[in-house]
Amino acid sequence: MLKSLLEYLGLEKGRLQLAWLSSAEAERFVKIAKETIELVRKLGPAKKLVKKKFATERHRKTQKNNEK
Amino acid sequence: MEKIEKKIREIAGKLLKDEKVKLVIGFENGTLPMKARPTFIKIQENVEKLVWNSLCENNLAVYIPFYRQLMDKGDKIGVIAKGCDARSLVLHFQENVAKREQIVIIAIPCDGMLDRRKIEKEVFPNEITELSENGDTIVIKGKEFEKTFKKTDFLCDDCNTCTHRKPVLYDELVESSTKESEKSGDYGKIKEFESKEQDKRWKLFTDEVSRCIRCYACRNACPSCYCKECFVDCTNPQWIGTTIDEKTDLELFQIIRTFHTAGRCVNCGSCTRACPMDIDISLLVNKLSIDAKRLFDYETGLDIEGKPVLNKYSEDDSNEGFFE
Repeated sequence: MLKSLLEYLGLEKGRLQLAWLSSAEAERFVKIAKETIELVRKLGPAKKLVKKKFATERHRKTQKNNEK
Repeated sequence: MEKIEKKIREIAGKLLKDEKVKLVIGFENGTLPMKARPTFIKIQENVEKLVWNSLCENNLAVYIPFYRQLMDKGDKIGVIAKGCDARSLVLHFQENVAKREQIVIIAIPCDGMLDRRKIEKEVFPNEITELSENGDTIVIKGKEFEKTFKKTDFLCDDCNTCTHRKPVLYDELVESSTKESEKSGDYGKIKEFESKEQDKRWKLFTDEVSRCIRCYACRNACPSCYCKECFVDCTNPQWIGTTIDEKTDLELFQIIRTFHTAGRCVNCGSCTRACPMDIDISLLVNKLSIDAKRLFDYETGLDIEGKPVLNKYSEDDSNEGFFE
């Protein structure tokens, strides 16, 4: 429901990801971690729901680029 | 309306006289026009103060958590409840805020409450000094003007989409000729918002909540928000900034507060009406209700034996949004 709400409000699809995992499922963990990394790479740095105070230098740069 | 009012006073008076309840929570006329305010009646002589009209918009279940001490002493509370109030009370019973036998529900099927802002907008810039109603019509009087409107045109949005106008649970029922809303469960506004582009949705949402002044009126008016310490008030750890200069905090506050009511919200619309900045909070909470219905086929506050939907687990639960 949280994912559905956030995506409804306009957060990028796939920015929030959830998975059920047990500590005994090592292979599954690796698989999901890899998939997540790939998805996040595609999406790029987060711009929504990021506090200015905590934004990294790189984030500020990308924001500036976008504004240009 | 007068008939209902008379009946309420009769029932409340009788309950207080027989000492069945220590306190009756209802409505009295406010000091401003177009406003009825909650009132707490402890002695029988005061029941004449009780009123019933289309301005009794507050959800009275919100006061129940404040009277835990009274209830622990063995005293009972009478609550005058509309459809939404009764559903909130059922939620309170489910979550052990109160026990069923501690509350006497005086139920009134409701025709929907008027939205003051819609009326004010209609007669702007004139100031309203008096509102009277007669069946389906309302008469608005002000300095040098008098207008008659149809009541159904000025109902709150959440009253239009209301699914249970007749209280689901009651001890005393005041009969009335209420019909369920024609637009019951029709969340056109949400569907329209949903059909927009992702970036547009985000812009609309952030524009809407950027007006938030963090007064927490929505939280205080909400019957589901009764935590002793709210996440926004907590200072160790501080979950969220408390100022309005960081827009992200405003967005986060609205998202988190509404999500805390997921599967617990009865769509009474109290938050939206309480908001002094006119933020459309129902845009968020209605979506949660739609999802609860879509994913779990659940509606809040109907079954006193049941549990809120996010409190239970079943193997057949929907796995939407999770990794395969």
